[in-house]
Amino acid sequence: MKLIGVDVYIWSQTIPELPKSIGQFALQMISNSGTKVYPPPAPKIDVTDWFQCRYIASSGITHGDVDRLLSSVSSNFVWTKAQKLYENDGINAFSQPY
Amino acid sequence: MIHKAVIIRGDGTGPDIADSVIKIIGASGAQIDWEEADAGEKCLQAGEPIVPERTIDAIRRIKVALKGPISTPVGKGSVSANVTLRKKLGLFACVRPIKALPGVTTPFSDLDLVIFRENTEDLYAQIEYYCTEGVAQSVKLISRKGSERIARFALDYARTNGRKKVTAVHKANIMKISDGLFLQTCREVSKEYPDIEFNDVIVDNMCMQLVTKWRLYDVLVLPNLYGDIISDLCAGMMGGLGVAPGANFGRDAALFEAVHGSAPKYKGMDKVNPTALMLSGVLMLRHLKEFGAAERIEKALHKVLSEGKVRTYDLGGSSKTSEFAYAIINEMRNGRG
Repeated sequence: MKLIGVDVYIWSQTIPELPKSIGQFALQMISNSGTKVYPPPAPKIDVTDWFQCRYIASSGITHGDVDRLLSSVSSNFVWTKAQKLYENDGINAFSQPY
Repeated sequence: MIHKAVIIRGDGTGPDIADSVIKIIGASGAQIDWEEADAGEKCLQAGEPIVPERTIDAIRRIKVALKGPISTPVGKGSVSANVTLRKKLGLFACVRPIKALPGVTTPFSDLDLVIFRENTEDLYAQIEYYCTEGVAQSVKLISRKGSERIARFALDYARTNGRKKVTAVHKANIMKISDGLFLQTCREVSKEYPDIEFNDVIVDNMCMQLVTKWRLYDVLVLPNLYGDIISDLCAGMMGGLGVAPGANFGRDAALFEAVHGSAPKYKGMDKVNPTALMLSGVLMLRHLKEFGAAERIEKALHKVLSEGKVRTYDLGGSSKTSEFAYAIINEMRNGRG
């Protein structure tokens, strides 16, 4: 499997205003309970305080790059869980939010 | 009073049954100004999402919708129209009344339950990963907020509809944290309703209890996945998905739907039973406070089912969808319904 990004789960009362890019990573989407809330339009739904924030790399990355992204996110946000994202034979090995 | 409502006719047999149900509702005395909206196969074939934004916007604007069955395409990247509608409209409560119908054979006499399924969380959040090449993981997401919302909705329903007891269904003996949070939240909310008896049952025991001691239960409240499974079990107990209505409620909109599939092999054959969508329409009429019209349809349906002269194939007859609908309309027009 090829490492291509990371989902960072942020503890926040509102949609976290994360950097749009960190190093080679670009913020692809933010979801809440499996429903996409960023980029707009965000559906008018009740949200929990746990946001799934997906960063995808534009080029080849290492596990160390993910560590550095998490360290950068930690400076302004509280993350409670992170999940590395892989691609298998060109197919995403992770789900997409609605 | 004229009400506006969105109609999504759906895929497969959906247009046949939607056409019949619109005629039945029209004959009931309720005045509905239907606004047509698309979802499903025809949208995909046109290169659109399975539920276009304009359909979401129409339901959000009008606040009430009736939906026929929609096919979920099988394959990578496909999404369910039903789940999309629930998620994008924030329809957090799936409500399934389970009641034995006259003339529909079932060993479960006096069956009368209402199921409240949390509609947005749990494994249905569909957050999944391959963690390694040989290990896959789904996130079972349960929140206090989501659990409180569905528990309160079920308890409020019980109170306003003269129900006596609410049972929370869970697996908190094993999933002590996620299902534990659901159960703990339900218990806390139930304390605000001292007039309603509250208890809890583990989901596997609930399955056994339902088929042996169903009369002990009244209103059930469940997390999403257990709700999905138990509500179909109960639909089978009342005679099958063809007669089981469903409704989905959010803060700003309500969507009423047949819970069965689109049966594409019967498409255009005027063959399938419209009862599930008809009873979903009855739920919609009650939501619109058209109680008289709802009562007329229900009484006429019961009469036609009891007489047994006009029955669709699933109930052992050979009548067409439209013939069944006309029998109900005639029953209402004859003033007996």
